[in-house]
Amino acid sequence: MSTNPLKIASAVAVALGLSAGVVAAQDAKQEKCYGIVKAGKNDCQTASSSCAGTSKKDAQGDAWIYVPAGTCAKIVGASTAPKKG
Amino acid sequence: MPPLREIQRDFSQALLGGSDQAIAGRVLHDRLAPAQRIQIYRNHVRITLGEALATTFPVVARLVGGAYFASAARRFIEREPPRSPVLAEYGAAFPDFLAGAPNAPAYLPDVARLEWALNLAYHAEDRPALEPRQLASLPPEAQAALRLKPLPSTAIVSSAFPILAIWQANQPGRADTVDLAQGGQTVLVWREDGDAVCRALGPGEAVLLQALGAGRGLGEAASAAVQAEPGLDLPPAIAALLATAVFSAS
Amino acid sequence: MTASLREPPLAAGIGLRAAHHGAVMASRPSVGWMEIHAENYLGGGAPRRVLAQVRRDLPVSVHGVGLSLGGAEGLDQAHLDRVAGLVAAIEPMLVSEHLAWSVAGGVYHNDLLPLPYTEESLGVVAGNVSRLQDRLRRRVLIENPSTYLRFDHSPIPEPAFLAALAQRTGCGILLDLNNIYVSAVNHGLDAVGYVDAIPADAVGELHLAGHHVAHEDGVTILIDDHGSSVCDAVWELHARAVRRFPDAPTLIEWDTAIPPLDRLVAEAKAADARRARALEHDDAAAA
Repeated sequence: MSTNPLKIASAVAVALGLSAGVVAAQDAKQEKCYGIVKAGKNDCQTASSSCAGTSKKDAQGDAWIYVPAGTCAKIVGASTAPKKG
Repeated sequence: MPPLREIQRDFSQALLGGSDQAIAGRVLHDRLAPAQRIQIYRNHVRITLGEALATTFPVVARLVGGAYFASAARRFIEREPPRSPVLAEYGAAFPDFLAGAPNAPAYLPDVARLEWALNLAYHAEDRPALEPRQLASLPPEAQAALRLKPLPSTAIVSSAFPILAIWQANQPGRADTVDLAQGGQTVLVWREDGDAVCRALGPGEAVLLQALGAGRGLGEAASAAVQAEPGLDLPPAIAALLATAVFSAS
Repeated sequence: MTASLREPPLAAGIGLRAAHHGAVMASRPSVGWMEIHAENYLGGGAPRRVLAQVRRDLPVSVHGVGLSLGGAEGLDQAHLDRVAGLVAAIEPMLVSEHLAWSVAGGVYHNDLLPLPYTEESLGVVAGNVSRLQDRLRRRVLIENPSTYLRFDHSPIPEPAFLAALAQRTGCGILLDLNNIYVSAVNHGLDAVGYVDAIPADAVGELHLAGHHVAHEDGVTILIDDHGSSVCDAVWELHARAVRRFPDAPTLIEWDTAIPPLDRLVAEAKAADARRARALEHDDAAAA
């Protein structure tokens, strides 16, 4: 389609006309993904494991765990290398 | 006895990775050492804020694994602790933080941005959505000048990486492989019936929505969309976006 | 007048948690009321929709967890306004917060942190509670915390501190019996004496929950994780409390390893049965 203002205007007019009715089918065609967002993050309890390691550093220590070890192994291709490290 | 403000400042320092010496000196030694008792609070703060981040960024957590995520979360919590008591709103700066995390894959910050957008979409305040019917009766001269405002729950996340494919492959029960060679994706995120939903946008749709979001009129946005994607069939593309509850009624 | 002739308070309630949103939308739980954490319902969308339905079905109480009433730097006006907006929108039967602080230097620590109980602290908390009550234009209840440490300079006993706070600000007291027990064990204090030291006319609500028993260097430390059934010692404190504060409704809190809704409803029914028994014994003793 050209960017001719008249053609754009008529396309817009057609779109607004369409949007009043036929769009349900259009919308259904588009592949939607539902995100599972968990709510309710604020609580007034104490984490059960808060007591663990009261006399020592926590198991993991203060050091960074430097190497990701999750499903990122499944993401392949040329540009998986970190930008910086 | 120092003023309460000073006690709370010293306690805060001990909770966020600093020394516990100042606050320990004011805590009663009762069977356990003050440092041991302080550690219970420190553990709680780390554990629960880390859990809040893992809840908001589950795909990032899956991608890097629990140990790396916990390690990153702990650094982030100490550097950017919450400034609001609403934990659903904690983590806006986490994607940028991940961009500087050692050995983090390059796509990780953008995947985090997508998860943050989903979180915002779910929790955003309620506002009436535009009814496309209202527009059908608009006089022709007003149509091109129409300015549409996205709802607070609507966002677009653009990436040089296939972030939606990566996100989908990391949903529960999925274990697909994603090839980064498929290129970048621009993703529309919005709220529908209380759920946070997303879909990939074509290049023309993406430009159209971005132009509208930047406050440009519908005619101008449509023109930019066709320039970006000459083959775009404008009427159904615009109509479909209008039918999705992404714009504000006012 | 004996307790049994009084207007019975509400049947016991339970905390509304996101894990049960689906179940409470499907059918009204058979409990007397429900309590929400204010900070989980300050946005829009699905959580507010669930809350609106629960509010239509049952009395609701708003329990704040993030106002930091013990904070020396005062209240966060923006957060106070949001909580006030929620209270105005749902008109709850009760509003409550904690005797604790969680903000220092503008940072929110996501924990109910302990205060030294001094005249200075009392002035700080009373000022913040008054500001909250003025903003909401209603009385609030302040809850006793569970604690893991005490300050070396903390001359006012906690129940006396709460009583003074109530007297100074006109606020009420939310007495958490599990918190009393947890703190009593953690600091070697007397839980029964605590309940008896609280002024009877100030208590507007009772909380019950389970805790985790941990051991550190041979010392038993109770962790207030709200992750199990109420223990016998806390039930005994509850029986004492319902006799002393017969008008205060009881709430069951469960936040860790949250069980199916039915289990919580059963726990609330158990609280009702124990309450009735405690009051019968009270009448028998009075006769």
